[in-house]
Amino acid sequence: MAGSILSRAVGATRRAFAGTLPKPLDCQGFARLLPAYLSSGLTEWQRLAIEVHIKQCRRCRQDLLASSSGKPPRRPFPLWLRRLEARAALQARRGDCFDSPIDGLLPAFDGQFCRVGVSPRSTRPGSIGYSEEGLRNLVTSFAEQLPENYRIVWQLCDIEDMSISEAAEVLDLTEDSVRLRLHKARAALTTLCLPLLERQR
Amino acid sequence: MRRTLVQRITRWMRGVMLNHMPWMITCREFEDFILAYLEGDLPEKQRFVFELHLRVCRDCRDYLAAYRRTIEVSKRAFEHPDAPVPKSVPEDLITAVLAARRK
Ligand SMILES: [Zn+2]
Ligand SMILES: [Zn+2]
Repeated sequence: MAGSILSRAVGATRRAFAGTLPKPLDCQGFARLLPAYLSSGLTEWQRLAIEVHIKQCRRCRQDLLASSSGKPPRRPFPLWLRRLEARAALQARRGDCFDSPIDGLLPAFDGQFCRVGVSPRSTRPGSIGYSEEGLRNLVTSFAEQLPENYRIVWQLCDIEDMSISEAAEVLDLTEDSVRLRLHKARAALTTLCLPLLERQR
Repeated sequence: MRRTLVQRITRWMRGVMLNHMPWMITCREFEDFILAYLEGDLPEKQRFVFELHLRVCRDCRDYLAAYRRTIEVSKRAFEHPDAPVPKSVPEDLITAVLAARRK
């Protein structure tokens, strides 16, 4: 009895999020989306799910390599995938983990999906102890560590104060991909800014 | 940096709670909703679940504070209208932005 109430509540929570949460793909789902992926006909979330899955699943990675080598897709997959393979091999040797230049700056999670590696105990609002110019130089140097697609979105939204829909229009992107990039850019900058925020404890 | 056994067990139990208890989400899921939360785009139910996680998870609380501070800091760094933009912004993008603003 208690068990069924619990599982119903868990189900309700999951359903509340079902519309927005990108679901992890299994190999079957991957096979279903693969043709659309090759013809670049997927939403950003679906593409992300595919890319996450092939990072984890060697068999599907090889499937993708095999099926994309026949007909040339719009994006240069084989080259990109080979880079992925090479990077995976490098990672295995180095024992660290990053997939694109920005991934190394994004928040990390453990096996239970709990956050790891946050430390600023208090980031009280107030002055940060830099002049505007000093701060600008610092933030600029941080921003320059971001890949261009992310930096530009961040710049339009956070610095130029554009709304997400305005930025989407200017960059000719969907609003979802602007959101995704803006969040990743902010998250990466947060990682870079942490030591700065800790100074004012 | 080495965690004691007790800390590891506590952490593991918290992970189990976040993964399996009703109305709980994991930090990974929390991360996906930060932007929508700050934009005020989360429907009531999801906002409730988001804020519930915020209450039980100190790491995410600290992280969200840092995330907000970073946005403030970067806005402050460029609040002066004549501040030079970071380099390596393509020229045609600047033109497109200016054109969009004039509309
Ligand atoms: Zn697979
Ligand atoms: Zn958390």
